[in-house]
Amino acid sequence: MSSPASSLPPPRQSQNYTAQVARQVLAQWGARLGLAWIGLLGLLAVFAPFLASSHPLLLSQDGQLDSPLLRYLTPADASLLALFCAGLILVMARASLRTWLVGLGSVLILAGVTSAALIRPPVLAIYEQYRQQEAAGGYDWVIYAPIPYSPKDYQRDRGETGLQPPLTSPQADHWFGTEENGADVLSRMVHASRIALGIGFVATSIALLLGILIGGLMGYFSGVMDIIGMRLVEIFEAVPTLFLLLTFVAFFERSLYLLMVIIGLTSWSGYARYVRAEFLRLRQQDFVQAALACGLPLRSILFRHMLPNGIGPILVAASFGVASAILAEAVLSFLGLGLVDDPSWGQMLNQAVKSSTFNWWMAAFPGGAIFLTVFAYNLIGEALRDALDPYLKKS
Amino acid sequence: MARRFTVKDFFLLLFLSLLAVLILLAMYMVDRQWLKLSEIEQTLTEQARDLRGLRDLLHSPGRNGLTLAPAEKQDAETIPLAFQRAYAATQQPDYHPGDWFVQAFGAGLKTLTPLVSTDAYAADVQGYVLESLLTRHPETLEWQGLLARDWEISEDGLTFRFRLRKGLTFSDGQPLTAEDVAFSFSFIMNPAIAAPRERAYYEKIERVAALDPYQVEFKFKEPYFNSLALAGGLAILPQHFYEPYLEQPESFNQSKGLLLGSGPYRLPDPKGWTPDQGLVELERNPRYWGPVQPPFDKLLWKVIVNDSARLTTFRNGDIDLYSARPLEYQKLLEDQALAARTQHFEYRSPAAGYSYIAWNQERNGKPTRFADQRVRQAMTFLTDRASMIEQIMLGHGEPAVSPFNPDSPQHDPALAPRPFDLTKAKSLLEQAGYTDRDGDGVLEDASGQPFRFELVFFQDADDTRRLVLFLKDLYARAGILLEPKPTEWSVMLDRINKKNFDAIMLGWTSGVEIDIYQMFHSSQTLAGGDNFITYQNPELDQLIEKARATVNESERMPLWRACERILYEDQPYTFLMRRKSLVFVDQRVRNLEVTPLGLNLGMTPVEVYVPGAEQKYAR
Repeated sequence: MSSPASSLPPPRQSQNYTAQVARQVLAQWGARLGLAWIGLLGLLAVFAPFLASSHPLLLSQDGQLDSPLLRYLTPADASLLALFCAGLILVMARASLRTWLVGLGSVLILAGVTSAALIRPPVLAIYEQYRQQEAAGGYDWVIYAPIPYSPKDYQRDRGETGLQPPLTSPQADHWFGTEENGADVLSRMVHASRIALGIGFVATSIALLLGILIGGLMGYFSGVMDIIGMRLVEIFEAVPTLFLLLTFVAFFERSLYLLMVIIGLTSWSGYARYVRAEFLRLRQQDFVQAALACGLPLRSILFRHMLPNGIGPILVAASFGVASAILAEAVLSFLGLGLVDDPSWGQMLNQAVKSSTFNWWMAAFPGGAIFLTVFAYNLIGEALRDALDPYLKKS
Repeated sequence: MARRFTVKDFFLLLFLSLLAVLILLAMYMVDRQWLKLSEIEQTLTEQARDLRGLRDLLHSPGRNGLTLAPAEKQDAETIPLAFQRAYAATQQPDYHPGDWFVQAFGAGLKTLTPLVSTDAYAADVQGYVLESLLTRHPETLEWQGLLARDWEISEDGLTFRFRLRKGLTFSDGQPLTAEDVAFSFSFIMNPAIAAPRERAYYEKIERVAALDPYQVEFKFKEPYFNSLALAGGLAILPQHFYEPYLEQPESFNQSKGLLLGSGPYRLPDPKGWTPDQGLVELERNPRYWGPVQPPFDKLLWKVIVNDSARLTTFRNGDIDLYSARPLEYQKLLEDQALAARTQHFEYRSPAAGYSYIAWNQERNGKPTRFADQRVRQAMTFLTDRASMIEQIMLGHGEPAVSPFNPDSPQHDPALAPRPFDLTKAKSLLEQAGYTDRDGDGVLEDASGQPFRFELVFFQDADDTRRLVLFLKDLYARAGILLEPKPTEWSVMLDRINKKNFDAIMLGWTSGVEIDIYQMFHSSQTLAGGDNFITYQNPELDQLIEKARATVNESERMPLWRACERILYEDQPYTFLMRRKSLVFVDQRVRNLEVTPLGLNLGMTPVEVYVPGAEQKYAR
């Protein structure tokens, strides 16, 4: 047995709190697995157009090289790629949390604006043209993506009627089978990971932002502000999100962004309650009183001194919130009220019991993906809670 | 001084509350007894009235109204024509009255009240409860008297005189007379009653007068080709039942289940049906006047919204009929377990109508792209109906050419559906000024606006959604962007009323010979009219008016054909297809037959039955 001194953690001031939490979270197997799955989804989401697309990666026509895939890249694809590269650089540079936030934020805005301004992909996509050209011998050689089908490529030219089990197509190349219109399920699943991740992150970010702002103000000022704020929270808690979504979808257009905003706008109340409770506790503490006595501006007290000390439980709640946002979209799509032909796991799951038979591949793959993603977020959330809350720490 | 709440107080409180509950229950019980009593009284009065009627009939001298002969000896010749088929069914060796017929509705019903209800589901139910003067023979399509014994038409074709049968009664025992017929008309024409659609048709009739209890006269304002169908198809409502609602029309317009008639079936409680029951139950009308009594004891419709749940219920044998989607049909046919206990029918009923895409020609007061005839023609050339039917409907349908049924003399067989022709469509679009000006593959008009449009369609129909995605791919080949717009039904109706859409995919039900006035005549472009695409063609207007006013069939048909040619040239709609009905029915239901009017299942007089040995719900 070694001496007790050696097993003690290093002195606190030498260690970044974030890094410490991260290490504790990563020490758990569940969290590792969860992060690995989310990471995999992230990779799939970023590289979706290169993984699954009907547009050839590279082709040679009459000695001229052409890459339809690059021509058809959308601003969203380009922004995601830029974000990914920025993230990679930040990892290499071992940046701090602050640099991460600032770096990613600026890259997101920069890449979003420039790509939206510069990249103009063709709005029309006729997927069968490549297959027809290739069959007619129009290309010298052509390289396709690993999954040579776009999510909206319904392969009318191949005369397939859809809903075919995996590997039964004459060409036997649909690994996960086809959906009701004849599109490749694997391709749709890869592209759907974008929607799943996007809706979770964006909706939760909106909710977090609102929740922290309102909850912080409520907790810090208390009194009248608190009373008004709590009534607001109660009003929003009474709104049934799913029914609101159903109504919106029925009367307005079906837009992914609208879904994100609605889910975000209706789920902030929980975060606000957490922040309020934390701030009510914190504002009595000495360091806040000291900050007040120093005459620091309100902004500084709220967000520099109080928030970092109260953010722990909110992060835990947020990781569960991401999961529930993904589920909300899946439920909506499952009910047939989601996006029209954009791929989404819930919408694919909806087809599992269509046309008088049980289409197991439409239940197993998208359902499994939804399950794993929600499960992964829950695992991460639990690990985070264990790391952040000393009372709940496992002995 | 505060008293403490002791055990004694608790028991006192308990006793008092128990007493209160007991008093309440007693009140409730007495109330129920009263209800039961009044129910019995009601039945007794009705039966007494029936008995009185029977006695009058027996004692009436000089009238051979009633013969006390057993039913088997009933001579087929005394059976009215309309009941011949039903009578023939009763003569089958395995015929046995009884059992229930259970069906399912795919959507919740809002109301069963006639005139107020708009959906086909309510019409199904009303078909068993309400009757009209005439009915079409399902084989020959000839008109024959149902409530009417015979009828005569005046020389000028404006006056129709119907003579009613004797001994007609409504299902509550009250006699049905010519007064009720006249009342039914005046009830529809009363502006306080929410029946604008029916009123639009019956406006052609000037007046309906009861000459005596058994004679009624319809007087038309102007000649109308379909006047016999109009007069003979009027659903007869009992005056004594519906008249009180003229005092309070709102309560009629908002009502859920006010349904009473003379038909073979009736609602157990003609005022009490509500949608939240989740099903519709009709019982056999014990006082049915007809010479052939209906076979089933009960007709039942369950509301099962989910498609696969409905199919499962059918598989379990809990419902007797299932309409399959094309995609399912083949799989269901191969299903041995299902094949063993069901029979299947594949037919195209004229009533099922056609589906179409309507191109809106005016939006917000400005003409749209589709105001150009060449654009509409191009869209039709681009709509590959043959492969649409092949791929989406799996061959269970046929392309539609015009609103007219291809089996009807209204249709000109020389007109064939336009084939898919990309080059022709492109050249038509080019003539109309649409070319790809910036090289992105999308067509632009002269002002550089890309050719994109929204197609509104009903969101809950799977086949429609697949169809729209199919069209999206097709139109993309010509450089046209289609944006699918799945819409909720009520929102869709609102958009139609406000003419707020580019294009819309819908269907019309139709019949053997149909009137196209409501959808294509210029006068119907008014708000709320059915010409919601603002299609105007003076030449067609004249032809429609002339055809409607021509009673002589051999003169009328060429006029309809001329109308059809104009519609074919103009393409206000791109007519998509006429679907086939793919129906599975439980094996125990016998005497099913496909007639020119469709399956003989929903027809009255009811001519299908279940043999005694196979009856499931026998009590």
